[in-house]
Amino acid sequence: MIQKKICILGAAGVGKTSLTAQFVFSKFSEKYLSSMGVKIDRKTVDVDGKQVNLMLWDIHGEEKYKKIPTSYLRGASGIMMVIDGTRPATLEMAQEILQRVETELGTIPHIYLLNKSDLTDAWSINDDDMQMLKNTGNPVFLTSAKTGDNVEASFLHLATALVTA
Amino acid sequence: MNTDKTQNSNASMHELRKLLFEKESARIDKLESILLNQGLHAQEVAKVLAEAVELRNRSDEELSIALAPTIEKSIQASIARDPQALSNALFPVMGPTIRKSIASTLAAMLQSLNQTLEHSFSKQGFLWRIEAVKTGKSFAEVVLLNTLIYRVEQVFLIHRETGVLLHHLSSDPTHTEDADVVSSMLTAVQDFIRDSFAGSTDQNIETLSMGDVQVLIEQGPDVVLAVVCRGNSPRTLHETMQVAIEDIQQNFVDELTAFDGDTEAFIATDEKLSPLLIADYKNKTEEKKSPLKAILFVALMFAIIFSWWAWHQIEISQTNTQWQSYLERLKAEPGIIVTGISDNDDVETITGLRDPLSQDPKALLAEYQLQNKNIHFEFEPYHALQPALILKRVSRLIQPPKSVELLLEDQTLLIRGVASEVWLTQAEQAALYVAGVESIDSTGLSILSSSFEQKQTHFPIKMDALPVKPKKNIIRKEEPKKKVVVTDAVILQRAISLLKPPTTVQMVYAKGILYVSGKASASWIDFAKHNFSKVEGIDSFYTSNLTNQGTKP
Ligand SMILES: Nc1nc2c(ncn2[C@@H]2O[C@H](COP(=O)(O)OP(=O)(O)OP(=O)(O)O)[C@@H](O)[C@H]2O)c(=O)[nH]1
Ligand SMILES: [Mg+2]
Repeated sequence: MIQKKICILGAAGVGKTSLTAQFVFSKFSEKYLSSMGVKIDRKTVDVDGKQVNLMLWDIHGEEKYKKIPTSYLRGASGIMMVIDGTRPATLEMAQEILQRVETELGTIPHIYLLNKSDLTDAWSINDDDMQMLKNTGNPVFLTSAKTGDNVEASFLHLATALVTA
Repeated sequence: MNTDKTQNSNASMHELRKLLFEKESARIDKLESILLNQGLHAQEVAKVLAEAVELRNRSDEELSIALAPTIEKSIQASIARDPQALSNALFPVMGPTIRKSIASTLAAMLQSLNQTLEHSFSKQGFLWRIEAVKTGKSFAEVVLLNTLIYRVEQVFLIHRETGVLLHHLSSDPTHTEDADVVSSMLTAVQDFIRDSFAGSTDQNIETLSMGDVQVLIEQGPDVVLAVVCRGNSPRTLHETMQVAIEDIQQNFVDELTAFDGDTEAFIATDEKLSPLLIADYKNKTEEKKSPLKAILFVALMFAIIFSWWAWHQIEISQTNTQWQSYLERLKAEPGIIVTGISDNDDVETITGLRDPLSQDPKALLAEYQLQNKNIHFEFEPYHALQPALILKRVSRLIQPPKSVELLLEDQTLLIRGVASEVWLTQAEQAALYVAGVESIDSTGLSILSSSFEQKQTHFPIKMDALPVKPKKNIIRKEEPKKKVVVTDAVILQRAISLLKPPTTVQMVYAKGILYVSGKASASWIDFAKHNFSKVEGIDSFYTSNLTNQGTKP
């Protein structure tokens, strides 16, 4: 059995816990319970007929005075970088986190999730920002933990990339 | 001619071919014969068969898969033909395997029996029994936990960097479900604690504890070994773990450096890790000292089983005697004739005749504690001639008032007590319908003086409702011998109470004739004429001495 450690990162309240819950348990809740520390879940997926055990580390959101400890990221095979599409500030925060991870641990494969895509009225990421993300060469997904849109697809995409790499 | 020409050129062509290809044609013929000859085929294949099989097996599994059904079939055929051959072939393998499996099962059973016995009868054991009930665990489990000094329940071999679980062992194979999450969590907790409290990164957690469960953690350069231990882990456990880590680090260098998430290669660490699944229990040495307890226990069990059996036997025989006396009672019961008793599949069937007025055999069961016995009754109804039942039948028919007592003596119905004339008159007639009543003696009955109106009231005995009425009528016709023994005085008395003569009238009765004299109203005389015959024993009404009051001017 192949096991891969995947860390879900991003600013506070962007929907990391919601995305994990949607992917693992197919559940969603409007209630916001701010995460503390780390919660680990497992989901086994099928990549090209091979079973891959994804260990999903849902880590608390980055805040000014509550940085993500990089020790949690040791040994991670991949990162899901979550951005809240209704709050452009969370995009900057994502860049900052990736920067720090890069300097401390080196490059780790990652994909961007522009989450809360169901909130079209409040959407405030413009095309330039999108293009800027795509230019980094990493995949970008528009996801909604609420409707489940693109959630499974994005996790599977990362899993496939990690196994076939 | 044109045809000649062609024939010529054909012949020369043939000649030319022969010249040019004679050798080749011979070779082709030879090859053809090889190709077409099945026997030669087999010879050729046989030469290379072994090699071909080996080659194919080296490249893939297809051959085994293809052959499997054939082999299965031939084994089946072989067994069908002669099972002995295969069993002979397998015997040297099977014997030891079976012996080994039985021995290990027995050893495990004895071990737990010993332990349970050891603690079953002590005061301590009693407390544990309560604990078992309270916690819902089995007694054996509680004993095990309480006599436990320590037991290593789970072993985690964790990839240090990723927290990925490389291999996991558990003393209870049902407890393996979330081992991978636990493993990740353990590293996360380690990271967290180190980040939060420890100064340098070299410091590591060695023990986590919760209640009587401890998690012992040992670090290697690439792997972390964690064991979950219940009870007081021995000091030496850390050392044993350290040795295991060194062993694994050395033997799996390549697998660890090339690790990319695939844990397959680490199943082989089983051999190095399983010695860590150890346990130690109290009282191990004492057990051997006292086989007495075990003997006592077994003796006690026998005593309990024996007394249970004896009690059961007594119960059975008791039921049997009850049953016998019930049958005796049933046979003695008036109005019940038992003609047969059969026992079929635990159902007793009693057949016979039963008077509907007799005691209900089902109701009698309770008296003999046989309510639960499975009994089926098949009784045909009949009329019994036992005095008790004749009396019952009579009294149902004539419905005597409470003041009347009925007796039967030699087919004579004795009516005693006090009753009205009206009742008696009809009772006497009705009673004679009953088989077994030949005559009626009512000398012991005092007649109540009844009022005139009472006569009009409906007779309490509904003659129409008498059972089997036609039969009664026949009996009635042929019963001149039946005679009511009634004295003249009684008949006179009855006549008086029925006819209610005015005081101006005197009545005398003799030999079937009622002599009436004196004065009376025309209506009374008329009434008397019409009704005197209702009194049993009065055949004629003699009125020549009676004068009509009304005729008097
Ligand atoms: N409409 C909508 N709401 C979402 C979506 N994803 C998350 N939310 C809501 O956003 C809030 C925060 O979600 P969480 O999943 O707890 O966010 P988080 O990133 O885990 O937050 P921290 O653990 O505090 O860092 C919750 O109220 C969610 O219901 C989404 O796709 N659409
Ligand atoms: Mg969260």
